[in-house]
Amino acid sequence: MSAATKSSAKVGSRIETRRAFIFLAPALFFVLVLFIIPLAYNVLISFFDWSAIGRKEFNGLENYLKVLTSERFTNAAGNTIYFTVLAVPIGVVLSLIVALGFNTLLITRVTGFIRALYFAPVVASLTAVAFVWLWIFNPAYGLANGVLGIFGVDPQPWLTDESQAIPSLAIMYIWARLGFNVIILLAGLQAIDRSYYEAARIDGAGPFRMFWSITLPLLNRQLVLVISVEVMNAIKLFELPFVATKGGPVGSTRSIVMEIYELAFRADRWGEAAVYVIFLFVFLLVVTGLIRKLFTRDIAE
Amino acid sequence: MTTTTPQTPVTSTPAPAQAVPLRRDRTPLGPLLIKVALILGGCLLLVPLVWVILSSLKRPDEILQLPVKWLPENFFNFSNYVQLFSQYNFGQYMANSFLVTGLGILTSLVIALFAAYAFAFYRFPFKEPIFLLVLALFMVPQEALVIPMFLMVSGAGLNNTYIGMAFPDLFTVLGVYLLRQFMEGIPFSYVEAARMDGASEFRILTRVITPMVAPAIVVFVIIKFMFTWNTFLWPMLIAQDERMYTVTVGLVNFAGSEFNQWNLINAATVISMIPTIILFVTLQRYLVRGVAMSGMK
Repeated sequence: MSAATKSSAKVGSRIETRRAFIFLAPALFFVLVLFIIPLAYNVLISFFDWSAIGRKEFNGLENYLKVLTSERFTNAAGNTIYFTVLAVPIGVVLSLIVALGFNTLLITRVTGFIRALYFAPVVASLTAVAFVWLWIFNPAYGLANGVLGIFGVDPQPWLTDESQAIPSLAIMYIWARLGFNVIILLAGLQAIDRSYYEAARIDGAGPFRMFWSITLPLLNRQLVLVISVEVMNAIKLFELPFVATKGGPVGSTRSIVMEIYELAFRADRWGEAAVYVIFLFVFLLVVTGLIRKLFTRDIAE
Repeated sequence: MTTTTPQTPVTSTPAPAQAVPLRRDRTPLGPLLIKVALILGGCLLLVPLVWVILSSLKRPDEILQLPVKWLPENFFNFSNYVQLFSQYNFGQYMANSFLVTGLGILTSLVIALFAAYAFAFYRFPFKEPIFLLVLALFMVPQEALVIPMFLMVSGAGLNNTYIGMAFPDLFTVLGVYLLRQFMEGIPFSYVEAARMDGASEFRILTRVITPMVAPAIVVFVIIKFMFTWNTFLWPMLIAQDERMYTVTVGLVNFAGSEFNQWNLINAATVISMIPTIILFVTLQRYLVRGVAMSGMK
């Protein structure tokens, strides 16, 4: 015991190391079982003509060729990217505006209550969100067309129209995610030392200049986090179209994860589904890498 | 930030043009406008939830009336809810969700406590790389790994079991991260003193350290509850028997079979949200703090 208690030494003793790994063992086990093995397994499956019940034959890059040239893939990838490009920037900018608004207010019980209003939708599951809005967007009985009717606007088809379906899903998604982003951005804003603004004001900087050269760079970390998390969630798009549109109309809301589900669990074409997964990962890596790069340059200026 | 608010001339003294009010409390008009705008926006965000709740209180004929009726005739018409629990299995779905969520919270919390303790108080080779690896997994969308995971779990014969349904939730990177952050703030002398007294490492963790990180544990449990309660794809794949459905799966399945019974679908949607809404209303402060904390790395 006494040898191990000398933990103030620079390097841990052998006993300490052993203890550390005993304490870490369950976590490392799950890292292996939940992440590393599935990732490797997925890569393996992608090289096979893989049926859950029958044959499992190595077929090289055939799945990749088949998937990347299929219209099904380009459609799903296109829909998912369109959704992401629509939902994430609008969602983040809106969150930033709301967070900036809250940041001007004193923290009181009242503002705490108002903030709670924004956070309320966050606690709903995406499944529930889909039903909430499926009902609101109901062309005949829905609230959305009811409200439009008051202003004399013609009823809209919303989720039942090819060109309106993805924007409608984006509205649902932004609604569900706004509060979460506001909280993170607001915490970042409140951590900014106000003396920067005092100094800038003495130098004669206007509000927009202060926003660009103080607020944005110092909010960098939270912005990167929010954008990365949003992109990740948007790219995983599944529940909203699965529930609200079933991928329709005419496949206009079929997402990558929906195709993964359909291919593997409905069509028993696991090898091709695994290729979709790999595409998802590569895409996510590239995008989050780009976000990081873009924003670190920002702060350097 | 005052810097982006429209530059309403709010300072009482005739200040130079570019004077932007910096103190939050000095300006009476600007913040008032912002406050009003924020309240309006917040109410707007709440409308969909209120609408669903109102719809869930309507009768089947009432809900399909045109033009759209805003309010239910009887605000205490809970017959839709009663029907979901008596004629359908929503009670069972709730129980299943609680079980799977509880299993996920408990296991991931214990594992995270041990791991965080090791990261915070031990020196060992490859400590930094291992921690960075765990952190990197933050950005791995687990849902995307359903294919290999399903093959593994069903291969292990865990299909249609609670363990199988909770499987991806038995461990969460966020827990390790949050608890380690907190433990790093505890002076090492606490651990040393306990060791001096002859306490075992396990005892130090459970009796000394765990109570000290209680706030982080609360935050983690809330966030974890929310995430696990709300998952859909994985339990849908693993729960094949209708008696095993979680609330989210039950809701989707129910809506698929009871097409156009919107009074019931709305009530079922509300039921699925009740636990997280209660959690939100009672522990809102912790929840908000937790989310904010996870953004302050």
